[in-house]
Amino acid sequence: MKVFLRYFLLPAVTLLVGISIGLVIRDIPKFSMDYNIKITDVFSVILTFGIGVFIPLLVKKLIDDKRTKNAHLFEELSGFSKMTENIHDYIQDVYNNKKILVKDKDYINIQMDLLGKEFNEFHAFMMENCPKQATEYLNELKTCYIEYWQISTSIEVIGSSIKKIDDKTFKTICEKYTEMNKRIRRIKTEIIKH
Amino acid sequence: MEIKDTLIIAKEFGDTAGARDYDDGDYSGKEFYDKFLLPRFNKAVEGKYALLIDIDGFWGWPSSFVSGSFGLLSKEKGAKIVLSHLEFKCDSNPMKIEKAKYIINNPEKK
Repeated sequence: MKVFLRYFLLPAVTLLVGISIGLVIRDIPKFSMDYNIKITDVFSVILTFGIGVFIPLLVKKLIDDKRTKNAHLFEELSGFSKMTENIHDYIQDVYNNKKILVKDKDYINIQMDLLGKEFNEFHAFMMENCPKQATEYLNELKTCYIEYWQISTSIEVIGSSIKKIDDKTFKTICEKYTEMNKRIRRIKTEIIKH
Repeated sequence: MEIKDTLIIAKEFGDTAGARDYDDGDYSGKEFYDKFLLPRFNKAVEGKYALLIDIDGFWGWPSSFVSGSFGLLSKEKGAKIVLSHLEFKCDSNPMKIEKAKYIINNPEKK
């Protein structure tokens, strides 16, 4: 009995089921081919293919352009940051040495003058290219920079009777420097966000 | 307001900025204020015209000099009248103009 089931009935049932399924799905999906192609169909196929290739390329280019633009903006910010850092480090050294000479006063004066020139170019560039949301921080950065210049070239630093930078003045210089860096970070955040 | 007088700092006063007071050495802000800025500013106010301050060619722009001259003028006369009778020119470094205006508007701040 087992032999009959295994070698005759099971293959027969399998064959019948297979034929039945074949008959049912034979016409699914039901469509017919029209071998006459219109010229508009050719254009349609080319256009579809073109769009399929063009859109990803366009998206990639837009992403790359944005990335490059952001990289330029970061570079500008870093350049200005570095210049400020150099001057601040110099002032810090002068403070740590507990002695300020005429040449130090002249150096700070020259560097702050050059930084002003640099800031002017940097600020104009950033205002033109940064997202609108960063404009407020750029204006705040300008005020912070002017306040930093104000205290760093004040009478408490470059006055002829000044022999060292006192603690109170240095603390204010550091505060203004921190305020500038805070604005620079906020501008970076806005650039990343947009 | 029409500009009828120009004060070229580098030509008339000197090409280098000193500090604030006479005690701080030559070319101080106070010296500039006493000898050039105040008399020319007063004339401008009397004549109802603007005085153009040409900063080009002037080396350095420390806040002590600016507060000793423009800041002092602002304290004496008031920021509004000072800004209405003074115009600035500095093609080489326009930031100097911003700094001067900031000091004029905030003469008490350090």
